[in-house]
Amino acid sequence: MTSTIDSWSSPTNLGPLYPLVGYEFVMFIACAAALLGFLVWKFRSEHTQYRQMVAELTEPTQFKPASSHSPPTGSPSHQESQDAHS
Amino acid sequence: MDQELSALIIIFTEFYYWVTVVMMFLIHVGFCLYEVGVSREKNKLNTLMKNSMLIPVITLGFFLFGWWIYFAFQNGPGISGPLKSVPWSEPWNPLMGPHLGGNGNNAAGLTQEQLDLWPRLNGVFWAAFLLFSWTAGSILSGAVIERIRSGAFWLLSLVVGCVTWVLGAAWGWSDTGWMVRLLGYHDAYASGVIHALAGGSALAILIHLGPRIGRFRNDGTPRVLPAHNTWMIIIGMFLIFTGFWGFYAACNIPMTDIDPDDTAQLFSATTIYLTPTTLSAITFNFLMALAAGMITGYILSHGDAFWTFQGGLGGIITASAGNDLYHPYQAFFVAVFGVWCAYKLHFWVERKFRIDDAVGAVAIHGYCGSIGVLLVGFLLWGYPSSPDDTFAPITPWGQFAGAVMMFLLLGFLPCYGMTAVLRRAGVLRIPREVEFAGLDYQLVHLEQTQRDEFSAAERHDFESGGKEDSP
Repeated sequence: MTSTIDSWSSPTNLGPLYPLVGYEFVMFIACAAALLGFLVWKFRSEHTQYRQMVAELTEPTQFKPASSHSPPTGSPSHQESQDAHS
Repeated sequence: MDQELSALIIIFTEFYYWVTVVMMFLIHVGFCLYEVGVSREKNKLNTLMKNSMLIPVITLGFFLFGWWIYFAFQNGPGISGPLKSVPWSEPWNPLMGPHLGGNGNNAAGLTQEQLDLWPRLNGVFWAAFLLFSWTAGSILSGAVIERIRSGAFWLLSLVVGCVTWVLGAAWGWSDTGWMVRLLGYHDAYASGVIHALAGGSALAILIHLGPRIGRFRNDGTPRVLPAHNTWMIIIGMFLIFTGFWGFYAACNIPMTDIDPDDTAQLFSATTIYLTPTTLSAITFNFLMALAAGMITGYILSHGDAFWTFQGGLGGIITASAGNDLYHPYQAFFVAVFGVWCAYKLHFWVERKFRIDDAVGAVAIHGYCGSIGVLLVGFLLWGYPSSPDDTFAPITPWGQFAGAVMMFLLLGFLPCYGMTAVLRRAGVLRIPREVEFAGLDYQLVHLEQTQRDEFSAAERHDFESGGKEDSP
């Protein structure tokens, strides 16, 4: 049992309503670790991701802005434009 | 009867702040729309996630230490007194969770007064301040789009949203802050403590971050980068204006007996300093400042939509420091002056120092906020800064010191130092190749691959006459 409340009949005496009263500091440490862990993970994963992207992008055929992507061969729009030219 | 009245005030105040929090959510929706609208097509998803994810980062930080800093550091500490004992804001205190105020179990040494007040006000009051923290983070976010790494940005926004602006608020935006007590600092709707401070922080980051590739010509003149979606920007700005109403409401304490010695009792809304104002007064002034800012922005930019709406925001921000006491005409002309100065300064700084502030955040928040704080010193010179008559009155020099404190000492300097460290560690800016290709490069190509695969399958199934996919 994690509850410190056994009745709602005298609410004026009730203080904390949550379970595991007395473990607040432990939960604080866990939450602080979660925040710190998230930031560390983000810095590391971003570093890896950008290194990988730079490697991809420095290949001459890949070095172009994302917005300038042309329809690939085989897609309907590509096929339509090919038909129009022929 | 007194107990019933006290209960009514507490429950009303709890609900009042709860509503302001809901309204203030719109500020963040507006910032997301606005930033994505300004960013280029190739960066829009990264821009969206960079701004959105400051919500969880700042929320955790503000629960873990930001709220405690606000109460504990009001004396400096060491300037007007020691570090304050504020158990209700400690992140491990029972009052930082669901609590009915009874002394039944684990009251952690709380006084009866704390148990009467904080169980119902702690969460909503905390959330109102938290939403201000998100705004501080979002102000930085707009300025630095399209070239900052998200991890570095979140770390910087954590510091600004949970430490520096909170210190500014503790010192200059609380009823016992040392800047209010000793300098008579007055900043009713946070021109300085949020806007000037976040603007100064953004400027510091931009100096180290540098401009986007291609932003400036060889002779130093800037190239104009048209927004990819003006509609998103304008709708975003409207939402920011709407959320700003919640912000203004949250800066007030809605129902206080402002004359506790009088047996008749006089109830009024007050500012955060417990000085009287009315919701009616701030409604007049908010709208007059908005009108002034939009007109000024429209004239200066020759009808440009972006700067007209930015002008409206800048007008409100400039007048905010004194909008509890200004006459609406005063709010109007203060806003005109602030937006005119900020607009001129923005383009001068851009050309002179090659500062690429993508959304004009330093101007609209930093310059307008600082100017607003300074103008209060002249227009409200001699007004009491607090109901406590031992506090210093409002003066031009007190406001000047306040503006320097917010923009420079709490805004610019900490971020300048921290960004320098991040830059030296090589984790501040994204690689040039990625910036050129677009921050959404990988995602766009992944989605394109998925579309291609689907299209090919669709064509194959269509050409086979539906024999393969029929049930």
